[in-house]
Amino acid sequence: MKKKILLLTLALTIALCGCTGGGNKGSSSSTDKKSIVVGIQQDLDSLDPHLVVAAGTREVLFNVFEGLVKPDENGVLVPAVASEYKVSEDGKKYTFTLREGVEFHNGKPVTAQDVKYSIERNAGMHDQELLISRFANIDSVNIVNDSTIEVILKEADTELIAYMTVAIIPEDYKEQSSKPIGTGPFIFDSYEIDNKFVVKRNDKYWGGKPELEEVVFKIVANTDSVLLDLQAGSIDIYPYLTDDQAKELSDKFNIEVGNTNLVQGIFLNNENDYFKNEKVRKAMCYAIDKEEIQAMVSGGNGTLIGSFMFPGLGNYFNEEVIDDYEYNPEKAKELLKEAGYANGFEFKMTIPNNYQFHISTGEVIVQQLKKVGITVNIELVDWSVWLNDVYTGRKFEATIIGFDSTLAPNDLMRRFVSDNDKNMCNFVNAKYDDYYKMAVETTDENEKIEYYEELQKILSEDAASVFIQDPPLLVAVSKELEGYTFYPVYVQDMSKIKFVD
Amino acid sequence: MKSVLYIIRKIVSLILTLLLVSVIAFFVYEIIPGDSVTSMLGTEYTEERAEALREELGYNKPIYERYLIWLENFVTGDMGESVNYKMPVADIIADKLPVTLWLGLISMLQIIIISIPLGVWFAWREHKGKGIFIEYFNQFVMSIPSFFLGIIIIYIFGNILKLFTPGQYVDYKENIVGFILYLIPATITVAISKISMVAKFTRNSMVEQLQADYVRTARSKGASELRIFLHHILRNGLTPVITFLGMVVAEVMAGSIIVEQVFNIPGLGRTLVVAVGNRDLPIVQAIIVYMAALVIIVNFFVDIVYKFIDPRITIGMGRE
Repeated sequence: MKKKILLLTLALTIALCGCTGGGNKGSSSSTDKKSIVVGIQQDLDSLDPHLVVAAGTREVLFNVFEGLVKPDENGVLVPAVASEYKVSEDGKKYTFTLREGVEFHNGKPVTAQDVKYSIERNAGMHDQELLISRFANIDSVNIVNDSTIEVILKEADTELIAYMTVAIIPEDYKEQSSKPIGTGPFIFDSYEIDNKFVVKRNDKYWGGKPELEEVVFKIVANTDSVLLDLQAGSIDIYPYLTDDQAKELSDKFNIEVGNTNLVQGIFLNNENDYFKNEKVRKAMCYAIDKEEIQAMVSGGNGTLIGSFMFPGLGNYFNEEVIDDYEYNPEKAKELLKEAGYANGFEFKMTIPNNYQFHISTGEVIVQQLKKVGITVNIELVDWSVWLNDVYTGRKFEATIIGFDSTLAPNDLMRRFVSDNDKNMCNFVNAKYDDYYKMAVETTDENEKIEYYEELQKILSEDAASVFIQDPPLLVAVSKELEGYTFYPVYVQDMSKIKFVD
Repeated sequence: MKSVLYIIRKIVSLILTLLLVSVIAFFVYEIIPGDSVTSMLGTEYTEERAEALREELGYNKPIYERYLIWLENFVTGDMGESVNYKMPVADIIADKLPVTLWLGLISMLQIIIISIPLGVWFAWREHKGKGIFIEYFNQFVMSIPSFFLGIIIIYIFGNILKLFTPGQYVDYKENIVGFILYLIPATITVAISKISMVAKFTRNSMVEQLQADYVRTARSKGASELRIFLHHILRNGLTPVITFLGMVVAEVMAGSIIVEQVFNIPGLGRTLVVAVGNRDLPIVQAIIVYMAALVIIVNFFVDIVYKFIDPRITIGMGRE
């Protein structure tokens, strides 16, 4: 009896293992076609490009949709569906000339009517409410002729061009949210919730067809087991490695290092009892050793910043403020003493629990602030709770987060304008507000740069928050592939990926 | 007559339990912070847009009214629309349900096929007065968290033995065999700790019988030990195991939620976890009710089957 049962168990185990062995055979099928698998961390929040909110969705849809203009790898807006554009001197009229021969994925040519519709839809003139708040400024969109479109603004805005990356979609097409159609280098093929988003090559792409025939964006649920998936070869590109993961994968993958284009910092609620005191905020800045943070959480990669902007925004980025607060715990203690906190104080730092990078940063900060007598209690919350309490409710003391941006620099800078509804930190400075207004209104590029640099200086001088770094983006790219390109905005461009010969 | 009454009672309690689950699934999100609207609008949140969206989604009505509307729709098969995906929840679930069902089914099969003979064997050893080191081993296996076990299994079966490719999930609509093969390491993860549990339960249940009077009687009649074991102990000892297996179904469902994350299997559990994070309440509520219904219905049938196997059972029938 005993033997029989033992044998039975054994036989079953072998049968089960034998079965699994068979599954391996099918795995090579993807190599005969030029197809790759890209791991992404979040599910897509919408397939309709105008309704997308999550940055994690935009980075994928970049391959399917294009605007009148699109960013290149240097952060310059280059013509896409439009072949050229002009901004009038008063900054109130944008004129676009449509590129000839651009077709939608359904084979129909892009018409001026489609462009008008796409812009107007985002301005809240069709089936949706206002989708891009900047577009509230649009007075009208006029078709001048079959290939020319004019956008007339109510008030001057010379940075609106950065929003003209908004996807051009066919008018009167009702299935955008299930079978999206755009003009990009890849065509939507299929989508399965929480599983994958598949695109196929657009052979008729105006910019030349990409080399890859198919790209599968696979949503990976677990950042621990993704390492095993990568090692086993079921994922070819994965863009969000931690420093430790990158080290482990370096023998099988090329690790590309770029920037995430985020402003990571400890954001302080300037209305809080402690942080409304500028001396306390400055003490915080002196007490934080940014280089140690980089060494501990990002393997020494990433770019240090000194104000609320990241280097990807090119000329607008003010390099001079980076070293305004050299690590100096003694000075921090002195400032705290002057502020009346000789024995330090205690505060709560709220961090969303889905961002391990910010959590790790927070853990380093706890240790650093302890040295000057400040006690930090980390509170981890769900993302939606963070949005609710911290971001919109402004009920917080301090938080660690990273802000992203479009290529329009005011996208970031407005977040510190006194009466702006996105001024999460409750920062108030009349001088800042004035400069901001001037920066947005001027049409002179040099003046604009000057004003934006001044704005960054003010934020640094006032220690509006503790600005840490633009964190590194570590990307695992299979050794069979090349051409992975970093952008100053959050995108994964698959049209440039090629197989190594 | 008695058994018809029994079944009716069981059905009533089944419906009441489901209602209770639906109430909990609905109201719990009123208590915890964060709602669909904030997570939908994300960083584009403004008071006006939030207000408009609440209006559109009907969130400005009082909670009990929303519950009744939801319940009425649910009963008629309309589970509402996902806030996040703008798709009917019914479609989403229909797509994911087979995945989780297969995962659960294969896990249960492994549990039943392996754990019961194993438990019987343990009991037989006990009967013969042999050691119980197996007890400790069992305890050890039961205490490994399944996400950890999952990663170990992926590593051993996938990365070392190369019996499957981790992360290369095969869709059941494309290739059912490949799909099942991909599921097997995941089902082993779910099953292992449950196998220990059920084996232990089976052993205990049978060992209890060893002390029973009828065993002594049988022995005094001169029956062989093997005959006693097979004819008396086995039969009586296994009956409670059936009820226990009904409870294990719930454990397997819970286990599959975690395992789907680790093995990257797009089933109901994963959708549930994502939906909770997004506060996509229509999906969360529907999946919770679905999973609960599955467990409750299985247990309902277990009770019925049990009743017929062992007619002495008269649960809830008062003194008769």
